[in-house]
Amino acid sequence: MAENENKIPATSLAGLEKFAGVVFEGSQGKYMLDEFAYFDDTSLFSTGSFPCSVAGGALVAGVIPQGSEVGLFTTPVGAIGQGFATPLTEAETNLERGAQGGKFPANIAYVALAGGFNIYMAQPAGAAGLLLPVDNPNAMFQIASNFVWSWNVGGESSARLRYEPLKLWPCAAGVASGGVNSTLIDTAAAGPPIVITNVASRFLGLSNGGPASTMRKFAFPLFFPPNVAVDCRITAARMLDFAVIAGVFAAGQGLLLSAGDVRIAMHLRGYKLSRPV
Amino acid sequence: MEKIRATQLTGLEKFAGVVFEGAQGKYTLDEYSYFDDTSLFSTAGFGATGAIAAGTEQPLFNAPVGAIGQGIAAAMTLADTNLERGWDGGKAPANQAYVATQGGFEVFCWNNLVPGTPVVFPFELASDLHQVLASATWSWNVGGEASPRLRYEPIIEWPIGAGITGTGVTVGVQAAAVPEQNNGLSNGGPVSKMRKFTFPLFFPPNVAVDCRVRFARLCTLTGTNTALATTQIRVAMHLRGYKLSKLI
Repeated sequence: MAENENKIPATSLAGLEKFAGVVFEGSQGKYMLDEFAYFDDTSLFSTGSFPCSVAGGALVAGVIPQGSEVGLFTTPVGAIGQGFATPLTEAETNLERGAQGGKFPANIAYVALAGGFNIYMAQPAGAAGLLLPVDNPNAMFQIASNFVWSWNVGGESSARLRYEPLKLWPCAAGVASGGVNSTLIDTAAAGPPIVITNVASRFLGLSNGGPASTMRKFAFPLFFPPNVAVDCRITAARMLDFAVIAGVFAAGQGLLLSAGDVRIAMHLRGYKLSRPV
Repeated sequence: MEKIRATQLTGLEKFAGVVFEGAQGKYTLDEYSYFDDTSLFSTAGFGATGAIAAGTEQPLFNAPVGAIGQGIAAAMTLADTNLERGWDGGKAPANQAYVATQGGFEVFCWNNLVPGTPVVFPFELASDLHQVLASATWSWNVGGEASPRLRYEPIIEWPIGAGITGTGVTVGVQAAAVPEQNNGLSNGGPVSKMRKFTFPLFFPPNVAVDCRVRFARLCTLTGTNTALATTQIRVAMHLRGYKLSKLI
């Protein structure tokens, strides 16, 4: 029996049907999905961390310089990278060890049909390690507007595709309700986090897009080919300074970011594929 | 093996064998093949100081990354546009084209009150945002004076389908003055659909496209931060479509 006999061809999967018999030949290389079969229905995600606390890890807002950049889908679970000082956990990525550096094994590929970015913040290393929603809509807007992403397959022989700011790539996820007595974690002060109760019930967790957003579909699948490194980056195209701006605008409208790190996770929805070797 | 023809692409299938011959020139998509699935966007800046005069206009898709233009005094970053250097002045290279199947406008504020620390932020007041969206229109021309200028509706009719949701918490400087934070105001909303063009918007090879945003009415702004002398209103047009290469 041939290796792929009775397997589900990639081009019979939902969202890929129209690519049967099609040769993809563009700036990112040349391939055919007909060569692949279904292996797993899975999402793929990877998180970058941008520290913006002052030296020493004090819990004050800081700066992300223009040009700050993290390569996503390079660091697998258990390894250190992508701006993290500690090994990535399964809450930060599901990239497996065999796909380190964005390069899938010789017989495996991944094809993404839709993608988006989840943005949140985290306390710096050494603190309690709390993951929190961004605490101010102006800070969130700043992050979603100033970070862009780009994509390259095949290195210098291919063009780098440069996409729009992250706010154009909603994540379709988030916290939708404030509840009656939402509890908040105030990390603005030094020392242990303070749990406070928002009796005004006004808290809604900030998210990129919103829980009811639809994750944006790629008109053409984003393809991680076998044995070729993908280079996906998120870049601060403008400088972000949360502390300075808090003192510029009218009281209460500053760009406060009270925790240490900005975390940006790219989520892809698609399929893992296999190819006869 | 053949390349993917442009007319095999989603949204362009019905144009196989069709000759586009209208006010904006004559072409057929059958002459092109797929090169990249990519969005194209461009931002213009309008100095406000509380008002934008009727007739104020800026071009879009004219200044590439790294260049100064479109009302923005500093070099364009990748957060302002992804127009490449070879596409200066809205003119695609001789063997390339771009076809847009949908489009929308995003409007926000930019401020450089602290020199060297420019920030972007959403409108504070829905009334200000509405004022801008209802006053600004856009137009499109390909081929210069030989072609008419197509004039479209105010940009409130062209939602962006993007934005942020949520209020944030009431900690730190927000606590006393503004207990209730805003949702980031956006044109349409995060769940809006970007509007499809019935016919594709086409950037042909080697011919300049002239796309403009124009304030057709006086636009008065009253928000505390929006009306600052150092604040600019930024209008970004986002297109979704394909970069094409010409079959030789």
